[in-house]
Amino acid sequence: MTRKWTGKIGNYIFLLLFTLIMLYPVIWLFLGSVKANHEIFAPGSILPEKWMWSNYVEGWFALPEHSFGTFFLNTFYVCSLIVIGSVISTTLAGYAFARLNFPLKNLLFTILMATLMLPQQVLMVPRYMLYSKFGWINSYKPLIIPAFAAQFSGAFFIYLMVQFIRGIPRELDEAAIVDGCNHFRLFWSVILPNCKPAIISISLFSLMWSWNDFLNQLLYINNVGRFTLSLGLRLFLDNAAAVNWGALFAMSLVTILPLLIIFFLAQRYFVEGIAASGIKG
Amino acid sequence: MQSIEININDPANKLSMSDRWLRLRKRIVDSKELYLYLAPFAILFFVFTVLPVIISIYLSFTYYNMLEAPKWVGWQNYIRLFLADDVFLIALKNTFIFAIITGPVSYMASLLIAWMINEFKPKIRAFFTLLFYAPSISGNAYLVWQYFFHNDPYGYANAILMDLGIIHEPILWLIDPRYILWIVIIVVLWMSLGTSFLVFIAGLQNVDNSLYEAGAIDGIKNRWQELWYITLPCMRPQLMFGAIMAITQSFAASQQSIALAGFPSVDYAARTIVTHLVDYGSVRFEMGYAAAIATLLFFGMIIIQRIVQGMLNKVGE
Repeated sequence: MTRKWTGKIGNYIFLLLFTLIMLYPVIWLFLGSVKANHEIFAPGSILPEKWMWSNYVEGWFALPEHSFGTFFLNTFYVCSLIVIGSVISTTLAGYAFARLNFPLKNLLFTILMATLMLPQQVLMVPRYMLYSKFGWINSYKPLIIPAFAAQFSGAFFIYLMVQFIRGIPRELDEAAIVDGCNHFRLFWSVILPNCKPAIISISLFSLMWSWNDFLNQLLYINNVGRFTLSLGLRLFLDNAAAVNWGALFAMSLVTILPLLIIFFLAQRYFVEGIAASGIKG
Repeated sequence: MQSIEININDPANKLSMSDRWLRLRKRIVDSKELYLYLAPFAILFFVFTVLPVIISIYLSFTYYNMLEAPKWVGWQNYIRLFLADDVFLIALKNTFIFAIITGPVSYMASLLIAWMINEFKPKIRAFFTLLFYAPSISGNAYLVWQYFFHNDPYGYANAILMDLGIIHEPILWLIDPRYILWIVIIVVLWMSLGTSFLVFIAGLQNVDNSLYEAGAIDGIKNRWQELWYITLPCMRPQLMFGAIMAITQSFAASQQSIALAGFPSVDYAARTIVTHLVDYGSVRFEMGYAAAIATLLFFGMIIIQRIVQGMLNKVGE
């Protein structure tokens, strides 16, 4: 018993130390965001002399013409459409692969899984050409429409969905078919309600990835009025780095806050969605 | 990873080719309703993923600048990559240094931490999960590192090192080619408890507890043996998935390099294969050349994937 106890305490100490290292930059970011500029640059106490909450207001309106409100709205708009697209395409495809039998299914699934190891960057050039042929450059279309093919996740979401649906007892399907459900009714009123954890996991993943995505947004959006948070922040850094670091820190914190809150609230479902037969061989 | 069921006894497999085609066609026509479910995904998937792969491989054998039609040049792009492009060789070296460090370290760290917090009660586990996952959600917050490694004496790292008397002049962290790559590596490691970490946590919760009891009877002595002989073999799919993620991410790294070291970085010190690709693809518009880089990256990753898969099959033996 005692050995187990000391082991556990050792674990705690290690984990707490590790947490401190991991979170130190974030804590520091927060404290920096409420410091005056001269204080950030003066070595001294980590706590601010005077809590400058005005940094947040200043940062919000730091860029001429466009406030961070614009970037927030843009990001919300793009990300919510990406999430909706990912959920629609992956639930339908997951259902088809998990439950239906049709010719060439295995071939299609194999091709899909092969793309699991295809880094998105490899496709950058042909995609860029395709989008410029479609006239999509400098709009949100290259970000949103491919999301309906779960582009940002590759095959990962479909895989998760297929495995999850396979875990739903077949008896439910059979009962529904006896009751006269067709494929779509079966999908809509039996499979979907049972997939909630998987749908939540997929939504969260695609939200976080699209929220933090920098490269795609950088490639396809050129107009400042359409900038998302990642781009806005970068612009702020390039423009204002020498001016007000506190405000810059404040804004970078504000941009990650929604994600932290959402992850914290949905965390339970998140792991459940992956765990409940989520990924299996 | 995926199972493909081929029924050898199926009469369809014994018929002649033309018969098989007819049968297949009939079966396809019969199940056309089912294809409707797949259609939204399949069409987009083909247009945005399969088609680009094919285009990319084709373009890698051409000269194409987006203005004139592609001109077939054979292997010339590939020859130029290895024999005439010094910057590509730098990028290749950087990518390997980067991947060899960040890939295994972040993979092992994710696994180790997931394993350690798995023993706690759900509430505490959830708390730790959030704490460790936070940095990788905070993608946009990496600019705090810009400040940490600021180039003047007031940058955090410089201030500390000068206070301690280790250095006397500020180090130009993000400008000096000797340091840039390492700083990008540190920042990536900081953010490395990501998707794989969550997948490992999920996998650990799936391991059947009765296996541990059986293991204790069979003479498992300590926790390390338990980990090696029971836990890890049980979560092989998750391990494989984590490995795929780690390889893809570490070889395709570019975002943090561009954000921290600028683009292009001084003396190409933080140049990776993908930033090289971005340079040719969206700055110089030498699409054929960029496609050759992409194709090379893709096949290189498939080879590494195979090697890692072989290693993972040895787990628990």
